[in-house]
Amino acid sequence: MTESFDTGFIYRGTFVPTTSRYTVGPALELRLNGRFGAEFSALYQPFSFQESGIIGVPSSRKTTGGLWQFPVLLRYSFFEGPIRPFVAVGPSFQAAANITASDMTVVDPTPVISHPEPTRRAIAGVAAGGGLQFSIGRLRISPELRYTRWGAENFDFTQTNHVGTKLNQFQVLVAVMF
Amino acid sequence: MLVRLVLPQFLLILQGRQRWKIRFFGPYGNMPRRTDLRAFVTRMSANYLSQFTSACGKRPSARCLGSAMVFLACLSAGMGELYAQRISIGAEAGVS
Repeated sequence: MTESFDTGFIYRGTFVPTTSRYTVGPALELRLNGRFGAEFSALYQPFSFQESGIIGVPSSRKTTGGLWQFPVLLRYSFFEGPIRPFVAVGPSFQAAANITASDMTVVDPTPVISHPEPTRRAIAGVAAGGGLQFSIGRLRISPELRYTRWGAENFDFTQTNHVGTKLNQFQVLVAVMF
Repeated sequence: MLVRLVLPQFLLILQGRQRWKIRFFGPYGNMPRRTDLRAFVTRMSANYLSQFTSACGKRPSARCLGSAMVFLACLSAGMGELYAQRISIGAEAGVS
């Protein structure tokens, strides 16, 4: 699995990611015909990272927020039966929300709150994955391994020299549908 | 030929003017024999071609043709029945 954020080489030592690696959200599934289906979900992942600077006045900044991810996947099941292996592919979108930064310096330890704009608030990518679907009672459960290749970074470390969201993302997901 | 066969039916579905319950047919079932399809579409075309041309103009617009191309792509991919048979809601969770 992959951490959501990557750091620039120069500042790697001063960056402390404390991002939650879990993601959760509602999902909607449409069965189109026997083997095809469509899946929409809105996955939320909170993030937090702390940077510290030692050049000039020692300072630190803690940034918190959330990443909303919206995959829209076309799913194809290989077999009809109690256990149905499937593959899924489609576009995915990610938006950064509720970004709050808290700055402190050694001289003035009172935190200064701000809401910085990310390099890009929304990015798009392509997701592909595969898994199994089976039923337990009325529940349909689908464990899935999903890879997403993002076209850009929400936070671009080449511009900020600090931190960026990763372009390659692997996720282990479980969908429970009613 | 395929456009000629399928396009009028598709446009009628879009317009909501079809008189009969029409199910699109794909390679996974409900595919009639060619003779059946030809007779069916000939009848459909004769009855409704005037409505289709009046809706889209004398020449089919780029929008109509674009919609038809999307439909044909879906049809060739095996998605002959374009309506959802079942909609499920739930939750998804995981780690990254």
